[in-house]
Amino acid sequence: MKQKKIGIINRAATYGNTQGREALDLTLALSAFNESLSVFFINDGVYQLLINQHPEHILQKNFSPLFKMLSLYEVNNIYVCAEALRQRNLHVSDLLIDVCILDKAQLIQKLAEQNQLLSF
Amino acid sequence: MILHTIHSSPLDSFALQQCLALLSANDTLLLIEDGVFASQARHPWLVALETLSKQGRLRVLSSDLKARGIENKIGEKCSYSDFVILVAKHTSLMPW
Amino acid sequence: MHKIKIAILVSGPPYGKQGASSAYQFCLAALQTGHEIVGVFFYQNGVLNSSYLLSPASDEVNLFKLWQTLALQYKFPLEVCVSAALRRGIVDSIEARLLALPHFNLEKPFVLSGLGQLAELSAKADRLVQFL
Repeated sequence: MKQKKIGIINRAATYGNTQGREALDLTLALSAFNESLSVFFINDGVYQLLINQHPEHILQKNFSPLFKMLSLYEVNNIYVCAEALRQRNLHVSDLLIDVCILDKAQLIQKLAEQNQLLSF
Repeated sequence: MILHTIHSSPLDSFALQQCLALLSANDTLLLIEDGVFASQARHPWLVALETLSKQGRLRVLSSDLKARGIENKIGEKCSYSDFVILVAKHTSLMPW
Repeated sequence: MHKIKIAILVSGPPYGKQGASSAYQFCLAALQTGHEIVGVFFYQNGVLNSSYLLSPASDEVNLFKLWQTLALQYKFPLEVCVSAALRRGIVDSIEARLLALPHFNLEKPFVLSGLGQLAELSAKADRLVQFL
């Protein structure tokens, strides 16, 4: 059976909530069962990918190194909203993994291709 | 074809605005929970919602309107069973 | 109308936010109109729906009981993500023993399971519907 395309959408920044952490746990776990995952970072979600995170200052574990596991788990469709980066004064060089930057039209297209969406 | 569900008030969160930015031409918007306030209040995205409403792409969950004591000024009311039908008609669902 | 198989993902808690109640009402409507719920997966704060220690006031809706009754009546699984559950103090008797905890608060029809179960529900279902 053809695998469903699942899109995991990150809309929230860390560490004020656990959305990002739990979305990443879910992505890594699902990757063992489904090879058609796409991960999206839109709106404040792009903050999750910043290089210089030190959550140990606020009693939290730094999970950002886990983003590097995505390519190891062959999750290679990682999409970041160009507009979200621009609005937040961020550049692709601020991000800790290789991503594909999409403009609005491309993002809409990619989202429409997914069979199932999970929103965080 | 995505069914987008908006769960929060447009005067309290950016969910509606962010969703509208990524809405494709054949997607539908369903206002549920505090999202139903978007069908009643004056907010900067009303014109966009009116356009969707004219195209039959804006639905409002009637139990959530009744619960909050408000009437929708735009959009078409729907029941939970209509919600199920909407889910069946669309490819995927995206909650905001 | 064409009948579909639906998987439900509940991300919100049983009290404090509406999402889990909306999920229940959606399930009920789907089942009453002849569709199939292949399973409900509880993740994030959604895992809190599964504690049998939930004790709402007697004149208020007990969502825990509603989930339990609906799942038994229509025979669909209530899967609770184990890692999200342990972090939030939801344990079954097996985990309680393993972790040397004096109590547990999760029993059938709710079951602790891994995210692999979500993958399975997603594969089985025609539609996946998430409630925040």
